[in-house]
Amino acid sequence: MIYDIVIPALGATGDDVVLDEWLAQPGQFVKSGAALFVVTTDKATVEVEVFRDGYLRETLVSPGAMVPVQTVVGRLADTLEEPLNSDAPGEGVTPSKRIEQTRIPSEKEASKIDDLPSERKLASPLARRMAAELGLDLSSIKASGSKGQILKRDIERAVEQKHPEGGVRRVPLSPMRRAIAQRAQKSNTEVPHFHGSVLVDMTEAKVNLKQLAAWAEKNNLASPTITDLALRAAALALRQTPALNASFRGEEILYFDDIHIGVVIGLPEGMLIPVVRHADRLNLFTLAAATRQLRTAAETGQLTSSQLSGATFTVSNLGMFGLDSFNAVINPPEAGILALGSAKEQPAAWQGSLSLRWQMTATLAVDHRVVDGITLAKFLDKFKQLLENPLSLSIETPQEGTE
Amino acid sequence: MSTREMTMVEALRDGLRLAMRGDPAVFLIGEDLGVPGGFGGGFTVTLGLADEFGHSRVMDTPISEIAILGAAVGAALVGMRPVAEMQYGDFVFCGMDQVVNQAAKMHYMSNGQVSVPLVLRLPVGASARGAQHSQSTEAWFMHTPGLKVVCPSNPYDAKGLLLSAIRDNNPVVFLEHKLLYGGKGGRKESSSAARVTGVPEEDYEIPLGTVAVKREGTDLTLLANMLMLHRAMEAADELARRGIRADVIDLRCLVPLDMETLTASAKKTGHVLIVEEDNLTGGWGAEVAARLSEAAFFHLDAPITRLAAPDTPTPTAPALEREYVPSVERVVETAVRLLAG
Amino acid sequence: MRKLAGIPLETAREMYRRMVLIRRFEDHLYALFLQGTVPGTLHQYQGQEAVAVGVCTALLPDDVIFSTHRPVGHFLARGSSPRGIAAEILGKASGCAGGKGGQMHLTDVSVGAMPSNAIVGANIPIATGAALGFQLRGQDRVAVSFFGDGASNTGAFHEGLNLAAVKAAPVVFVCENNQYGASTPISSMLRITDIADRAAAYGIPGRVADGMDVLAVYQAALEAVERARQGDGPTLLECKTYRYAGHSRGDPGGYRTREEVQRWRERDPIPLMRTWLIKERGLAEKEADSIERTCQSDVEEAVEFARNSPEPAAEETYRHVFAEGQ
Repeated sequence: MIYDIVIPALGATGDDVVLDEWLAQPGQFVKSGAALFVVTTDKATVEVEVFRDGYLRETLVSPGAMVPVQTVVGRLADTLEEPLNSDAPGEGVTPSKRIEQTRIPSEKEASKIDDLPSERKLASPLARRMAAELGLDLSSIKASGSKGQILKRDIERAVEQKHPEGGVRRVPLSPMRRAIAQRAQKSNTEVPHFHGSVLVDMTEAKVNLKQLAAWAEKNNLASPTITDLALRAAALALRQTPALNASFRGEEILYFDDIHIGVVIGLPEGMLIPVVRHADRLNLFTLAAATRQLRTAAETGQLTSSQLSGATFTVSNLGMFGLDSFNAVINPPEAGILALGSAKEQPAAWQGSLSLRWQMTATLAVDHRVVDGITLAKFLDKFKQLLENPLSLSIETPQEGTE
Repeated sequence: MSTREMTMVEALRDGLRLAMRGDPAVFLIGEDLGVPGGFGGGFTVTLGLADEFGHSRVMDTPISEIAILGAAVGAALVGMRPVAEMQYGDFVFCGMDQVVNQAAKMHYMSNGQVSVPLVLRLPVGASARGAQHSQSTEAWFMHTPGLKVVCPSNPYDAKGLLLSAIRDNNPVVFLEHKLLYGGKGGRKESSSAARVTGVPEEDYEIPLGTVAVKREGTDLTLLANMLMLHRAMEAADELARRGIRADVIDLRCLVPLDMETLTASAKKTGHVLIVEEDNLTGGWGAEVAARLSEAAFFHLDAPITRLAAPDTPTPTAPALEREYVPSVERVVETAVRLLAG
Repeated sequence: MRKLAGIPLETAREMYRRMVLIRRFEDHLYALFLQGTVPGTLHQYQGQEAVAVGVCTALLPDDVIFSTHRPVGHFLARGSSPRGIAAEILGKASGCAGGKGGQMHLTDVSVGAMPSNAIVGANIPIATGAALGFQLRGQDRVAVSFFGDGASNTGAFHEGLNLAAVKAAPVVFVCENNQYGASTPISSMLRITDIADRAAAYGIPGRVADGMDVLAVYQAALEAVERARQGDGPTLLECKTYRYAGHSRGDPGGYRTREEVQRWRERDPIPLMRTWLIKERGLAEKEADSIERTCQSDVEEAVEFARNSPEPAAEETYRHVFAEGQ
C-alpha cells in the first residue's frame, strides 16, 4: 500500500509552512515515530514524525519550499517494489482549498447604491401593494407623508374620489374583466401610445355594400359589413406599411410576415378580441364569413384560445353606438390598433363641390417605440384611399405582400 | 379556587413555595436567601421560605457568582431543579461563562444525553442605583441559543410563568423588574408601582412561548415588556383620547417568541412601535423589528420604530434617569408622529 | 513504586490495561492527525495515564466525573467505549455525542462521564453543584473534578472550592499538575510549589501524589473519595505528572527542553506498572504482552469503526438546542 505523507495542522493559524529538510532519503526504511522531516511554522521549527513503518519512496517537495498545510509532501510504501502509479489514489487527503476573501465594496461604492433613480416615488410597502392591486399608477397619487412618501391614506383617498358616498355594489372580478383590466393596465403603463386620425368619406363604400349584399344573397355568401370593409382595408394598408405589423420586444422589434387582425367584439360582460388569420388573403366574402363565425362563437362562449391569440393588429368599431371618434388602447404585444367611429351624414367637399357625404373618423393608435409618425400617417392615408375607392377592396391581390 | 391580592414579590414567593412543596428536586441557591433575620434575597422574594424548607434547600452562598451559577448547572445535571438568584441582574456578568458556555450548551454538545433544568432569577431595571445595578439584560440571553427568556409584567403572569419555568427542562433566564416588585416587608422600592392584582392561590402554569394581548385596536401595535408594558398601557389610554386605537401586546416571553400573534397585529395595524428599557443598539426590540419586517413587510405603512434607552450606561440622578428610561409622554409623542407619517 | 499488597491482582491488571489502552489510543490518533484526517486538533494525554486511571479506579459506578479539554484519558479510564470516542473525534454520527461535541466535549452518561469542558476551570463549580445535588438528595455519590495546574489560578477554582468547603460537599478536586499551562511553565504562574497548599486557604485537606505512580494516585484518591462519601467534605488532590505531547497537536513544544522531557520519560507510568506487576505480583511477561496486543487491536478496531462510520446528517445541526417536555 502507498500512503501520502502530508503536512499536519501545526502552527496557530494554519498558514503555509516551510519544509526545511528531509531526515531520510527515498528508498530508506523508516520506523513509526521517527522524525521524518522538519518544517518551520509561524510558531517554531518542528520535527514531524512518520506515522507507520515503511519505505520512504519519494519526496515531492524540496527543502526550502513553502507549502500549505495538508499538502502531500512525500509517499510512503510498505515495500520498495510496488509501483507508485498515479492512477491509484494514495491514502490521504486532498489539499484544502483556499477560501477567496470576498470583496467588500468601498464606502464610495456603497453610497452609490443609496441613490435611487429620481423617477421612483417614495411609498410605504403597504401603499405600494395597494396601488398595484388597484391598478393605480403611483405617479398619479398625491403623497401626504412628511418625507414625500405615499401612504395608505393617500391610496384610499385616490380610490374614494372615484366612488362617492352612497350605495356601493361590490362585484368581484370575472375572469374576462380581470383579463381586460390587466391588459389595459399593462398597455397603459408600458406602451407609449401615439395617435392620429383621418376623416374617411364612406359614401361610396355604403353604395358598394349594397351591391355586395345583392351579390352575396344571390350566391349564398356571407354579406360584408362596414367592419369587414374596414378589416380588408386595414389588411391591405398593413401590406403597404409592414413597419406597423410588428411588436416591441425589449432589445429588438419583431416584424411579422403574416397579417392576423383581431376584431373587437362587444359583449354584455365586456369584450373579446378573436383573430381573423391571414386577413389579407381573404376576399370580402370569406372575410365576412370568418367574422360572422367568430362573432357567433364569441357570443356563445365557444371561442378557443388559439382563436383569441396571435393577432398582429386590431380593429375596433364602435360606430354602431354613435361615437364620433375614440382612442383605443393597444393590445400588447401588438404595435397598433385602429378605432372607428360612426359614419355620419355631413356637409363636405367632394370632388370640388359641397354636398352631403357620409363621414367616418378613423383613429390609429401606435406603439411609438415601434412606429413613428410617418408610418402612422401612411397607414391612415392608405386606409382612407381604399375605403373611399371601395372597388379596390374587391380586387384580388397577389398573396405576397408588396414593397 | 381562591384568589388573593398579591404583589409580584408575593406571587413569586408563592410560586417558589408551591414548586418546592411539589417537587423535592427544586431548591434555591443565591446570596442572603435564607439567612435568619435577613432580607430574603435581594428583594425579599425568598423571605420566610427557609423556615419551611430549611437551609439546605434554601441555600445561602458566599459572594461567588461563578460558583452560584456553576453549582446550579452541576446540580441540574444530576437531576435537581435549582432556582438560582443573582442579587442584582447585573451580577450575572461575573459568572456569564456558566450561563452562556455551560448551561446553554450542554444539552446540545452532549447530543441530548444531559439537560440543564435550571431557572436563573435576575432583578433588572433602572431604579436610581446607577449603571452597574440597573441593566435590562434580555438581549444577551436572547442571542444565546439554548436559553429561554421570560420577563413578566404583573404578579399573575409572574407566578404562572415561574412555575412553568421551573418545570421546563431547559435553562430559563427569568427577569424581574425591580420597580414592579411592589414588595411588602423588608426592602420596598420607593418608587415602586406597588402593583397588586388578584392571583390564584393554587398551582397554575402559564406556558412559555406566549405573549399577552392587553388591549385591542386597529391603528397601532405597541409591543413592550415589564415596566415598559405599563407605560405603553398608559400611553394607549392617552392615544385613545386622541382617536388612535392601539393593540398593546405584553412580550412576557422573548424566547420562545410567539411571532404569530405579533405578525397578525402588525398586519392589522400597519404601524408598529416597540417600547423597551434596554439600550437601543442590539436590544431585544431590534430582533423583533427584524423578524416583523420580514413577516409583515407588505402590510406596513410606516417603518417599525423602537423607543428604547439610549446607547449610554444608566445614569443615576433621577433627572437623568427620567431622560434615559422611555416615559409615557415619549411613547405618546412617538406614536403620534409615527401615525402622522 | 509503593507496595500496595492489599490491592487485588484483578484490579491492578485492569489499571494497567486501561493505561495501555489510553496510551495506544492517543498514539494511534496522533498517527491519524499526521495524515491530516482529524478535524480540528487534539489535546493528548500521553504521560498522564496514571492520574486518570488511579482516580477513576477509586470510584463507584454511580459517581460522576467532570473532565476538561483533554478528556480522552478520563473517559477511557472510566470505561467509556473507544469506538464512541474515536468516532466523536472524527466527527461521525456514531460518536458518543453524535459529532456535536467533538474532541473537547465528550459526554458518556452511561459511565458517569459528564460533558467535558473546554473552559479552563469551569467544571470546578459545576462539580461542586453536582455534589450539592447528591447531598440534597441524601445520596452517597461523589463528584470528581479534573483540572490542570493552570485552572488553579481561575476565579472558578477559588469560588468552586470555597463553596464546596463551606457546604462540605462530596466532591474531590483532582489537579493534574503537568508543569505547564499551555506553553507557560508553572513556576512563572505560581509563587508556591505545591498547588495542594491552597487547600488550607479553604479549610480542606490538600494532598500531593506522584502522578506517574498509578498505585500512589489510587491510594490518595481512595482516601479522598471515602472522605467525601462519608460526608466529611472535599479534598484537593494534586498529582504531579507530565504530558509527553504538546499542549495541543498544533504545539511543537518548543518551550520544553529535550532533557526535561527525557527525564519524565524515564518515569513513564506504564512501564513502571508493568514492571511492578511482573516483579511484585507475578504477572507473566507473555500476559503483559497479550494485554498490550489486545489494547492495540481494540484501538485499531475502534478507529476503523470510526473511519467507516457515516457523518451526521445536516439536519442534526438543529436538534437538541432545547430539551423536550417538563
